[in-house]
Amino acid sequence: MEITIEEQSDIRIIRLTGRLDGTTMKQLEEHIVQLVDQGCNKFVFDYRNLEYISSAGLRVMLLSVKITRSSNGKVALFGMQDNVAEVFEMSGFFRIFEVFQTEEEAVAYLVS
Amino acid sequence: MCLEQIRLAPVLDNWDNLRGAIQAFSCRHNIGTADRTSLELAAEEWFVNLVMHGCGQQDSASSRHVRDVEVSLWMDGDKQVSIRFTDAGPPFNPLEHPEPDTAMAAEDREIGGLGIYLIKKSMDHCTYRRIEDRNQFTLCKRVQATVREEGDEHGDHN
Repeated sequence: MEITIEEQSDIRIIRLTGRLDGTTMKQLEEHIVQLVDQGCNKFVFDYRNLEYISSAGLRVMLLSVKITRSSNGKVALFGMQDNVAEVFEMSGFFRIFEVFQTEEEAVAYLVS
Repeated sequence: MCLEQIRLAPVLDNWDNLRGAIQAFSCRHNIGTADRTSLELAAEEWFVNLVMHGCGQQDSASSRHVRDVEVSLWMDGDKQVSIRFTDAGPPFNPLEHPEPDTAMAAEDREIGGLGIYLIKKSMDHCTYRRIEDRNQFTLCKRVQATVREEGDEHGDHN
């Protein structure tokens, strides 16, 4: 999996490419923990190129929402592919995450 | 019945090998992307569970050979795929595992506990048996036989 992180004022856009599974979740977890340690608590996840997610991936996403909320931060997602959306649906994760079609909408939600 | 078998040490890095076997099997049997993804998801959830909690966590006195996970894949007719995992870990029936409450808010959700639930949701049925000190967990899914993938030379697109 490829992870690129972009700064947009106090927001970090985390772009994921590939598969978020049991073998790659640690990579993302390390990035998130590092960003939180630096004081960031507003994350937009770009899911456009995320092809697959399993419960290991969901676990990191849940971690991200829990640790950002504990400091009044926010998390938003955009561009989810169908099979990833299906896993979110089965797991009840649409109740937990704000999911948008576009990056602009996701960023606007964090700014609001 | 076309049977494919693979034997893997219960370590996380072997998930890529198992995924490769599922992809090759899906390709050979013209299984479409959506069905293949469901098979990958269920197989990953169980394999990772075995690595983290099952035979992957046995003490080092166990020989590697005994700890290995055996995975068999086969088609029942051309409509159903079965994937059977056999391992020598402690007895564990995933079908008796309590289901998570997927309606809970983030703050109340536990980190973890979703894997077995996703297996049950993404497969049509699963069976568990304990035989000769081994766990045997079989995942079954009805699949759509895709005759041809997109981009073939056949059809008149547009």
